[in-house]
Amino acid sequence: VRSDLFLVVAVLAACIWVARGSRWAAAIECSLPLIAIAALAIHDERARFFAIGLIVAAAFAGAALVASDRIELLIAGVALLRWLPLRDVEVWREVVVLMGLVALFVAMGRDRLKPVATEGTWQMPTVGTGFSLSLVAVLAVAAVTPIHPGKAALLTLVLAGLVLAPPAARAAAGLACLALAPFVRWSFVPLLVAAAFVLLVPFLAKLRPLAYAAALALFAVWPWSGAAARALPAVVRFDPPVGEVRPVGWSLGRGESLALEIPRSRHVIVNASAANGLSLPPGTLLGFIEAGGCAREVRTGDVADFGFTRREHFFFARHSLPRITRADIRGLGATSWLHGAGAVGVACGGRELDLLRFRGAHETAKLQIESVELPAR
Amino acid sequence: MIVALFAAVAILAPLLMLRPRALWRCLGAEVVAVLVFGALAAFARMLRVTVDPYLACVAAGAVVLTIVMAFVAFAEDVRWSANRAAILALLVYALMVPLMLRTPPDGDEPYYLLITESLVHDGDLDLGNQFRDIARTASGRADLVPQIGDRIDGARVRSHLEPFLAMLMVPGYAIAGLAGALMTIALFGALLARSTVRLFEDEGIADATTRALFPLVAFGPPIVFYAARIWPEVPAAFFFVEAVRGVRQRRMGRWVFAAVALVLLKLRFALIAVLLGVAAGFSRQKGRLKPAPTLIIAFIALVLGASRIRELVPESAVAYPIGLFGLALDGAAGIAFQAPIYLFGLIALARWRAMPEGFRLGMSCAALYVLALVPRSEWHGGWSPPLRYIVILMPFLALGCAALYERIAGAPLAIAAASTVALVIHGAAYPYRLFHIANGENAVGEVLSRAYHADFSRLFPSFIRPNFAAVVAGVVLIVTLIVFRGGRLLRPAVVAVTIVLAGLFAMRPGGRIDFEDAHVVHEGGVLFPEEYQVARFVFSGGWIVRAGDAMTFLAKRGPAKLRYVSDGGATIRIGGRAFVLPATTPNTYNVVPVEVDREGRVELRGLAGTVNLDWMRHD
Repeated sequence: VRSDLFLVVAVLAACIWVARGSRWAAAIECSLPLIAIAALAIHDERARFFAIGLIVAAAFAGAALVASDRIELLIAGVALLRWLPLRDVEVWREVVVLMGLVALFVAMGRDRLKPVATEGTWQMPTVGTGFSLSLVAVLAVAAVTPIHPGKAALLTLVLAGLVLAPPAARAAAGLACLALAPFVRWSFVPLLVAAAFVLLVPFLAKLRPLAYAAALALFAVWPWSGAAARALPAVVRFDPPVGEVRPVGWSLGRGESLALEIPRSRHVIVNASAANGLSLPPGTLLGFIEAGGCAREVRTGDVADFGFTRREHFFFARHSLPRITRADIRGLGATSWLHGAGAVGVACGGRELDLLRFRGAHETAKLQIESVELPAR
Repeated sequence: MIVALFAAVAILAPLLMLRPRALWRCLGAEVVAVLVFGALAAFARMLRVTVDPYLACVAAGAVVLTIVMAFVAFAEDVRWSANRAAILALLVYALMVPLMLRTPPDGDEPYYLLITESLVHDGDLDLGNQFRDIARTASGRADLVPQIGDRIDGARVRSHLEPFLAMLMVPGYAIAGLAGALMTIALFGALLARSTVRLFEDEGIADATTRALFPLVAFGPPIVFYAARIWPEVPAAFFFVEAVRGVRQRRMGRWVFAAVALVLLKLRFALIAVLLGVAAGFSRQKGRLKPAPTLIIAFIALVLGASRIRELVPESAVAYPIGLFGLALDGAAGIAFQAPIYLFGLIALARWRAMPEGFRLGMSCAALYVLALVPRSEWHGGWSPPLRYIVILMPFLALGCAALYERIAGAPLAIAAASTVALVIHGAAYPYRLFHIANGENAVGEVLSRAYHADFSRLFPSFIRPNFAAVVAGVVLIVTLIVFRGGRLLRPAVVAVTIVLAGLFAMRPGGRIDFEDAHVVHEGGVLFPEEYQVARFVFSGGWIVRAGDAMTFLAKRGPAKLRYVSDGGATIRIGGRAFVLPATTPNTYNVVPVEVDREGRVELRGLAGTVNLDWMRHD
């Protein structure tokens, strides 16, 4: 943790370094005491990391306003998004990714405009004509580029090559990526969207405020960069539990079944996930939940493989996030991930339920019952 | 409603102050900020980050308005004039009014309102019937009783507060009740903003400098809080600035009117008016002296303020440095922690001869007032938002700051600006925290002390309950006043390291434990004196422990001294050792030696009797 903290301080130092000479440097440097205060004053760990994430993102944005064309800033951003926690860094793969990102950044150099805040001035940064979107786009690619399998790390170099194509071909490639995104498997979507962003940067001038806002907000959650990159739609699929949550922790293969007594209620919510279900396509039947004489099918889509958003597994996963998630985010940094459990509602035409029976149905994958949520009383 | 008001100000302020090019950039930046906050709110919900939603809303609004103010301060295409600055100030103060009304008015505020109600409804200053029918007061303070110092004659009650402020609020109150009264003060705040900008112009401060400092002064503490609450300080500051401008411009009508209004607002301000009169009357005007107005003002001021003259007689020599340094450095009530931008104004005081004439006139006219204030036990303002008694000086300290502005390095300015924004957010979101019981701690120290059960409050200089940090801060201030060349050494990185080291230091046991402090974990017992005791600061704070009550705190091993008062004597246990505390005469504290048998967290438990424990100091 201490080495991670040093890395964050090093990133801030890079921000201050690129902004040196401008009077914005002092404002950026204020992030250091702010981080010290946040670390000292905020006790809840998530709130503390959230606050630190916001402060660092603000400092980074400040530095980008002054000097968005600096490689140091790109490396700092990549470090923040990909190298935390340091103990989990796979050095050679990350070196390849970094080289690709630098190549991409250099290749995109012609897209960049001159920064507005020049040395020693107080000129206000401008939104819309200020720093280019290149840095934002390359950092978006940095966030989503997988290193498992190793070959995927070369995607950045492929993108760098595409960026050098003539504008029409580049635009066509970008639009093709966007058009393909809804039809490919879930784990390719972030890659295609980021690639489209990179390829369409010259054509997105009008959307800059929106892009900056999205970039800043996403960058601010760098303490959970892995989960943000691989499970972003969880933000809109999240629904917090409202009733009492009773942990269960059962795993059921095909033909296995277990029953759980519950206090009488007309409906319950079961949080379930799949094990060994990484390669299952959407809609695959995993099992059943029987209650009050009714049976509820549980399929991928309702739930997901519990660890499919892990860095090592995501590229190979074939199904998407569950429709409703309780957003159980684990870990920190690039290796953080979202548990694949989904919330499955169980009711039986208004009858009172007092017993839930869970039955596995898939040959290789198991249905995992994580917990049962009783209605709020 | 708060969100709607923030949105309205965030749109109207750029329309008012910026030309099209800067306007669109500013609105774009605001949109980006709003989108970012929206997205972060969604992320925070998903991550189950628990933040007070009201605080988050106020903070987001304040950050958006900070963007607007940054454009006003630094953009090139700004429509800048004193009148526009005043309208901008009125917009922001109008936003602050409902924020301040989150909790009912406090301190003297409801009493000023009571006088206004008496004037409006009865046409007199007798508050007797108001107190009898107190449930109907617009402040919602049904708990009000006559204050100490009020004249009570049978059923008639005459407030000791000067009625002029209440008279000024009569039209506003008659139109819109409490909100109208508060908007009257906000209007004076806007007038103060206009006068301050005019003062800067008169004194030759560049527009760029004025624009850069204006948001920090007008929308920073303490003015922003006093402009949205019912205290006479902001109208007084307006009249003071106008009086000084009148003297500088040799416009007798203006300064005499302003000086009289100043004295009517609070008799204590007569000390300022007298010196203003001297400065005006004995300055050469068209080749001859005109002492008449001076003598008239001096006479009125002396008659009205005769009782205040006694306050100039020193009570205790040590009271002067305590009050003076306290106003500058106290953690709860000093400029350094409550309005840091004005520290540069203090530094300007040390460069007296290089400062603008208006600064020198204003500060020298306030000298008697400050001299009368600092030895008083309530130099810190009593039950009021911080810096109450020196709000009136703020425009002049700001002028000093403006005169130094070009020489100040970016880092100290950035630190002061960031602190100002944080203080405004804190005060706007939690207006009740602007009031502090003056026990020697401050809001930050208390929060950290409670969180870590360690004495963080001792890191903050306190002149209310003088501590070692106060001595260190005093020395640092003196050295800074002498050697300040722009503050290039004060890097935020240095501040960050200092915070970390201070945090580590605070985790260790301190040399003195004040038993009523936030870091002490109490199990039973009661605070002495009670929290809302009038003039609490004149008492020795403590914690009353009875048999069975206990408290734990970090302590050092070894001999120590314990200060207490106990009518019938008591027996206590500290760690593993019991001590008999002999009976004391009532209200006479005794100090006895005790021994702490362990290092670290120690329990003090009452075994028999009742004792009011003040402090324990390690030898």
